[in-house]
Amino acid sequence: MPDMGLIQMTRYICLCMAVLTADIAIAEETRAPDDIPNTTKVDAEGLINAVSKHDRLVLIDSRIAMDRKQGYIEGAISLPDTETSCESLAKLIPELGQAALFYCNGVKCGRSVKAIYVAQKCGYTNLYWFRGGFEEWTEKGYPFLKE
Amino acid sequence: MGLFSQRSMSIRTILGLLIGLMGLLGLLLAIAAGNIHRNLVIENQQQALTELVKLKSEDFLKTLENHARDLAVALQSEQAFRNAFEKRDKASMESELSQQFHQYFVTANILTLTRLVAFDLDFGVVADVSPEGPSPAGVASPCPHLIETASHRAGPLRTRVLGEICTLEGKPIQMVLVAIGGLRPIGYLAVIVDPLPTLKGIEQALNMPVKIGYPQHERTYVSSAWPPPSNMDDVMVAKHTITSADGHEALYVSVLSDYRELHLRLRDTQIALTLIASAMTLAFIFVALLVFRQTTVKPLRQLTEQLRNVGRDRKNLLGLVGADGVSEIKELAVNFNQMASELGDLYETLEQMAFYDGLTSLPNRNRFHEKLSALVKSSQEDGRPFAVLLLDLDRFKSVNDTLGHHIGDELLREVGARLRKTLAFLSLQDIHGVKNTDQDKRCLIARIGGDEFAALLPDLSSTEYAIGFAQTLIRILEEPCVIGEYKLRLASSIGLAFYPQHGSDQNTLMRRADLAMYFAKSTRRGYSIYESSLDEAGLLHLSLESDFNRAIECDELFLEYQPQIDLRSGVVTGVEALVRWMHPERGMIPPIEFIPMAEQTGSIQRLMEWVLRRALRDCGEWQGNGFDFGVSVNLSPINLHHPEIGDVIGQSMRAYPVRDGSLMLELTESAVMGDPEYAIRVLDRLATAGIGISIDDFGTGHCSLSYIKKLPANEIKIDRSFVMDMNQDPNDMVIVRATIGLAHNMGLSVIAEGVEDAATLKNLRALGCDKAQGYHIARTLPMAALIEWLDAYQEKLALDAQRVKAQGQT
Repeated sequence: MPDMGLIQMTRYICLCMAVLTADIAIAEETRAPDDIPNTTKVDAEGLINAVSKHDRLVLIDSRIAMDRKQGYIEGAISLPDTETSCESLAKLIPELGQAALFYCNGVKCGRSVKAIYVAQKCGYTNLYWFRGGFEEWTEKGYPFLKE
Repeated sequence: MGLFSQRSMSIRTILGLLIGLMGLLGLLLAIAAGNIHRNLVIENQQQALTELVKLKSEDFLKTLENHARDLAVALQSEQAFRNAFEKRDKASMESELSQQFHQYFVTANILTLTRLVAFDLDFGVVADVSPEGPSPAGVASPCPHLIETASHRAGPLRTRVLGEICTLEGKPIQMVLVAIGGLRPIGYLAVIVDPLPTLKGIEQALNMPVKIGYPQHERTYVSSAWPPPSNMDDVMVAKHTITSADGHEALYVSVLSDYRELHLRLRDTQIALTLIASAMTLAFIFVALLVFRQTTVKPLRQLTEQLRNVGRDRKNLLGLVGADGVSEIKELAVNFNQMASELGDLYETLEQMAFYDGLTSLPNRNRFHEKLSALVKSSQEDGRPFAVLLLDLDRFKSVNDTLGHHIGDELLREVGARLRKTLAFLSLQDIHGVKNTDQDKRCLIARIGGDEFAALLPDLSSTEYAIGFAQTLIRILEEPCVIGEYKLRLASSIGLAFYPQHGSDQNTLMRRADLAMYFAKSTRRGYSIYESSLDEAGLLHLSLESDFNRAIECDELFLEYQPQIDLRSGVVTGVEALVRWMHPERGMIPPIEFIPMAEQTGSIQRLMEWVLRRALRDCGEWQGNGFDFGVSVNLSPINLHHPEIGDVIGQSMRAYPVRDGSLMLELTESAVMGDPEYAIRVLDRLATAGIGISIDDFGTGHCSLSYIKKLPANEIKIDRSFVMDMNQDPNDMVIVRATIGLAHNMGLSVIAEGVEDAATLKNLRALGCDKAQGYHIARTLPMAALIEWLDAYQEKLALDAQRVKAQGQT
């Protein structure tokens, strides 16, 4: 493009950037999958039932700290997906077979999914996924705590 | 009376009223619409306000509930509280709960805590605290409906937060129930708050006065800005009632909006609307009237105007009405015009027929009299003189009789054309020196009868002018007329009468012009002006002509017969028919007066025909009565030269059959001598048909004996002038004798007329005369008298014969 002026060049670049940003936005908007293989998907009531069933169930809040400020389910430990790793998980869930439940904001939130994938890679086997997340929890009128 | 006046209202008034009424209706509708609009606006405003207070109340209550929930969740999650609850350590719990009434959210009025109650899973009270301290035993349980609902839950649902409004001891409360123990419930914590302080916030949020109250409770909150009941005009109050979960009315919130401003705005709108509607109505009425006027009233008025014009003068029938306006009016105008033009044509035709002469296209007698009458009337007012001219063609009748009516008609047409041309020329010449455009003051020439014309010269400046006019007419008519193969020379006579010196009324003027005309005709002086001396002398003779035509039709004529006898045997051989006229006013008119007139005016042909028919009828009658003789009829020279003479005689004889040889025609010498060749041809034909010919008045004319010889005559009649004096005058005696001898030589019989005494009769017999007639034998007799005479004469003859016989015998 030897003939292209500065303005045209800038426009071209802007266009490319716009296309790229659009791609990212689309990725973030993507809904969480309906199911995660080898994971037990639960709703709010399923969460409460799981808690009563497993004394040592670990509730993991995969949201970032800012989102957690809206409130959190009592007993849930904050571990944003970005910080989820085999090491951080090991501190919270000592045994690979121990029950652990992940949630984030809701169906549009991919953080719990990512965290579960990490956990699965780390070898955890008894994983629960509260797909509806905090949104479903509050909508159904369940109590939550604020920091 | 009212009905009557309504009936006489014009269409414009009625429609104007109707349109005005419609406009008024429209105005009322506009006002009504304005009112409806106002009410709708107010109602909408009210609904919006009610919706607003409802939303705001619910919003505030929801916030309150959330605060209460947050408190409850936070409280139950505290480890110390949970431990005390698990141990059922009532004192620790009450202490823990009592502390809550002094927390910042209570002091900051975010929450007005009224009670905190901890329940076990079966809703047995574990601790119950109010701001005054632990609640006394037996205190009412708050919101039993909520507790009832909660107690029926199982499994995870028990974890859900419940909240509702209910009443406790008449006061509304907001209660929130949270499970103690988080996701593994071990009991329940109820947080009870007073909603009233929170709801007061609506006043600030909406910036409107607020009133909050409970039903059947005196304690209500009223904003200081809330107006007293006396000043509640122009305000709008919206009330929202909050019901408890068990369906009772727990609380109401009212807000007040000052809508004085809205009111004013609405009133302005309404006034503007009414004004606009009024203006539009007025404009509509104006436009409607204008359109109506242009499309209906104006064309209708034009039609009416035209009808009025037609009413004034039928000539206006041809004036057209402009065909505009609405389609119905247009059609009406078109039809009107069509009808008017048809009527106009018809009227013109009728007028043409009524006032114009078909032959010459000149105005006719009616028109002339109409104009004359008008002229007399106007001249009686302004005293202007005028002239009446009567023009008669001389000897027109003979043209008609000898050349036929079609030639006569052509001649009249030519005369009409000449008169019209003259009049037009004179009008162009501007005869009075002043252009006269007034139609009533123009000269007029009309045809008022067969060959009679009349002219009016209005506004006459001098009698000389009228004389000049008459002379012009005479000169113009003197020019020969070429009609077909004939070249005819006409003469005319004109009589003039002037208004006012000769008469001040129509009839006098006409009669005097008539007299003057006849005088001119009889004296052959072309024209003559009326003089009083004409009246006496002229009237009698002059009026006979017109009367004579009537006489034939009205049977005023009759025949008398004078018997003719054979001088040797005394036997009646025939009778001479003599026409008589009994005038209804003047009595008997002698033939010497009317026969020349009939010859002159052309009536002689009709007269001859009448005489012939009557004579033949009577002859047939007496022949039927056994009297075997014929009848002699006098023939005028004009009759002889009439082309149809043969046909007329033939038809009459067929109509009244008589014995052969019964008809004898008497002709004067002069009749034959005018055109002897022609006369001989005609008479030959008649003689062949068995009609006898007698030469009348023989001896008075200058008859050429050579012609007499050629005539198919049977008899010669010696003129009475010779016969009457033959006894005294030897010359006459000579003539009579010579005539008898001459006639006998030519083989003709001889009859003497005017035998008035026995001596003459005797002489005639001695001279060898064949027949005689005269007073001595018999005077002229009407039909009935003739029959009587014949009877008597036959008796006398028979007696004479007997006497002669007796004398012979003795």
